[in-house]
Amino acid sequence: MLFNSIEFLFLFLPVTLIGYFLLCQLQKAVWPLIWLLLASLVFYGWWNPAYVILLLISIVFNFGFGKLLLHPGSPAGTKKHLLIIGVVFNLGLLGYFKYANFFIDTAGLIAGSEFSSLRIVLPLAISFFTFQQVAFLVDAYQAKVKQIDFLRYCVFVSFFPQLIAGPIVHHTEIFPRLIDSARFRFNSSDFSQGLSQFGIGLFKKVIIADSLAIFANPIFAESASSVGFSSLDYTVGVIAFGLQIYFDFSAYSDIAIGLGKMFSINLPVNFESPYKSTSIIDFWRRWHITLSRFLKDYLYIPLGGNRRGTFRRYCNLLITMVLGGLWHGAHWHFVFWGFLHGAFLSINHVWRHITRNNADQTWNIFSTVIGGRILTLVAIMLSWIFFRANSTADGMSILMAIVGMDSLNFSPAYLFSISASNLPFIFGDLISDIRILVFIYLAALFMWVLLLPNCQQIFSGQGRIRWQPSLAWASGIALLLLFSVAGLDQAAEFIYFQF
Amino acid sequence: MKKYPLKLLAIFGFLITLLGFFNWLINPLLLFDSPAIDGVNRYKTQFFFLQHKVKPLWAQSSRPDGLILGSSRAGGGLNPDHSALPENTFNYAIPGIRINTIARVYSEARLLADLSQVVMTLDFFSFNVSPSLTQVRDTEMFEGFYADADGDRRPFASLRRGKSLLQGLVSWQNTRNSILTMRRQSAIEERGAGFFEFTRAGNWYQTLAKGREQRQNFRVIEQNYLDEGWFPPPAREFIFANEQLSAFDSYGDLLALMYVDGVSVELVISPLHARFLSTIKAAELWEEFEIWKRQLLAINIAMADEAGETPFPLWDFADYSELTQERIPAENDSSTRMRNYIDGQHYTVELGNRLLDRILNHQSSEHEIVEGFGSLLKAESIDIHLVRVRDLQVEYEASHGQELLDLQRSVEIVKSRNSN
Repeated sequence: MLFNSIEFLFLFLPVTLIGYFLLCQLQKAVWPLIWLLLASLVFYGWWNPAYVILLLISIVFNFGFGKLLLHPGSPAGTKKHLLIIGVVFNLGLLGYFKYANFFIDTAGLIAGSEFSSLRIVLPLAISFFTFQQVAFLVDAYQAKVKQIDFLRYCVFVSFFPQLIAGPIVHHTEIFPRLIDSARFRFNSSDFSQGLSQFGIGLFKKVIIADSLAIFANPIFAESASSVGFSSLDYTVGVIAFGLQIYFDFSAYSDIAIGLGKMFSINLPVNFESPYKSTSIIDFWRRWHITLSRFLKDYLYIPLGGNRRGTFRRYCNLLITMVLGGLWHGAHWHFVFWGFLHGAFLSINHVWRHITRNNADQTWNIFSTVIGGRILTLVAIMLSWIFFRANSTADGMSILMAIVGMDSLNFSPAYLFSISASNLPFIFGDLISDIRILVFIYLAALFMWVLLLPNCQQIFSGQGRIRWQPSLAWASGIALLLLFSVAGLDQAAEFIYFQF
Repeated sequence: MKKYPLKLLAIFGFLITLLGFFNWLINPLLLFDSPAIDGVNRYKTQFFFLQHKVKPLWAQSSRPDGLILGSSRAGGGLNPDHSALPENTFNYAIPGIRINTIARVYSEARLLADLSQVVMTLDFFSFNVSPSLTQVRDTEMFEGFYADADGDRRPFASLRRGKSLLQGLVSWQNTRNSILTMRRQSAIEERGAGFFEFTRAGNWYQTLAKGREQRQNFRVIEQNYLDEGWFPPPAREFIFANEQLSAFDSYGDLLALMYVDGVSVELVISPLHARFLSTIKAAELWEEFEIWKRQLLAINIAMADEAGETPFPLWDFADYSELTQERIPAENDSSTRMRNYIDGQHYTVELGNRLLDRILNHQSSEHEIVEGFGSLLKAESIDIHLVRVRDLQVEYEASHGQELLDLQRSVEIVKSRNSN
């Protein structure tokens, strides 16, 4: 089920909330927890009921192994074997469903022949719930988990706001809340904030991100290379995608956190104005924060991190980012995207090392603003080409077309593609010239991204704009909800849902 | 703090109710039974190009056993209330539809009820697979279908139907349609191309504006077809097949399904005006036009053979008869109206009734059978038929020099438009 769908907004969410708070009245945590679990399974099964079984198998297996790992009587050697089996099971499941065909195709490529692919449907959210449970097993092995019970574990894994596309929640972020029986009641403050953040997120997705897809999709279409797009088309398309994925993921994070908050469950921050980053290192502390944390804690550090010399450090960085790329999708262009970011990070670390003793103020400002913000943004935008392209070769063609700068005019084919789409009429009717519309729209969104405070700042009262439970805020959020609900007929699924 | 969520939801509820009431009242897509008010919403000016979103809902309600398939030519020309058709016949014609989409429409209709009679009109442009804007419309229409791409029933049909109606009330697209509907009410009977009145059985009646020269309609439609109609951007080509799609394969698959269903089908090549037939020639597509007719026949026979059935009757009305050569009102004549045509390819309900009389063998007291109006295509006589039509075209063009000159001007206009 999509958050940005009529059935979610007008059926699933109200029923789930009302049922949850009614059951909270029983003063026993078990009933609202069962309700949350059932609701989450319905939410997941809406896409394909058969895969609920897969999710449940994964949950039962990992809970069982977690219990064994936590058993005080188990010898250390046995625990290690149990952990290995547990991790292999999880990665095996992920490997089969997500990467089997990737490996078959790659083997065929190497052997110079074509092997027939398996007919596998990628289960929704498998990458997310697998990582979440691998982290849990490792923590259980390291005795960082204090106590678990089956019901709470099920809710921890399947809680619908974070099930499909994260955040990848650490057990310490959820378990205390699920254990605290005093918090199973309607909390007006949490609900108000959650509803407001949800409204902002929905607006970002339905009105902003989905309208940007109209400008980005044509240049990434499979037939794009034969259409004759100009350099300007490609440049605008890439920038539009950079903004689309920004707003799409920002929206998802706001919606997930907002929904969690409505149930008084605080999900971790996953997105923190990443385009304001002053470096690639900074970017990965702001973009998909919980994935970065997982990769650091459960991959980079176990590989040796920065403890085994400079060369190994950069190797570990590259391996981590390449695997991070592969986590996004079983295609070589994702691997290349991960490699690019690994390379960017390595260069960034080298640069920091070289300039660490430079105390010149002017140089520092130049380095931060020019070398930092602008260069970082350009590098991120260029890397998105390989993230979104259908193949690395397609990505290279797009990059070459941009660099070639053969034309500073839009091609008729690109303008046609845009006009053939259903532009939200508020844009299409206000500015009839698509060329002007594109520039104004993208520039306005860049201003938003670079200048406005993010939701964390707004709701924590730290930003220039601060949320208050006032009539003005209620009216504003109601308007955003109205705009979003009225735009649902054009809604598309979140980009991160496919991972 | 406690009242904040209530305030927020109350304001949201108020705003969305207001929006819903506005769209219900204006009712641009005829989704609701709201009143028609002169000067406000009487004429549904946006409906024509959005009917693909609505017709699935109407058909799902009426569950018709008689079906009319085709493009806008059939939509405006074929009356589903014709007495020779089943009582519950639905006109599922969609403007600009391609043959592969007609196949999907049929798959949808056969899930709704046991079909007893289908009249499928066939249009040359529908077999062009060059990408066009209609693909966006197709996607929108399929979202409302009960049937999936394989023709199987999708789950949660009622829920989707409810969603469509809800979106009809509160979507921005529909709000835009409401605003445009209101803005375009004034002087619609006097100016512009005229107006349409739509029935819930799927067909419509077109009335030309009072000051409209009908000759101008012929020019507009032929210029449109000489340009984007037959050669849609961006590729600007007329092709029966590409790597993804073959129009004749889609047609064959559709016929195969119809034979399996055992439904009575009449295949009809639309009755184009003689001047429009000359437009096809002016576009240098006459050879393709004849290939197309041959293929329609050959595939029909092949599919019938496979099914062990008698081939469906295939009627060719794109021919020369007294009716299809009706005189076009002269330049500056804005009062004379043609009986049979709106423009070169859209015919009136009167001509549509004659067509239905002919193919369904219905005796009408209103008009006599006109010689040459509708020929049954058969394998043994197709060559002779095509030569005869070609000869009649020569005769028509020789005797209608002024029409040819006028058409030539349209050709020049399109050429000059495209060279700029």
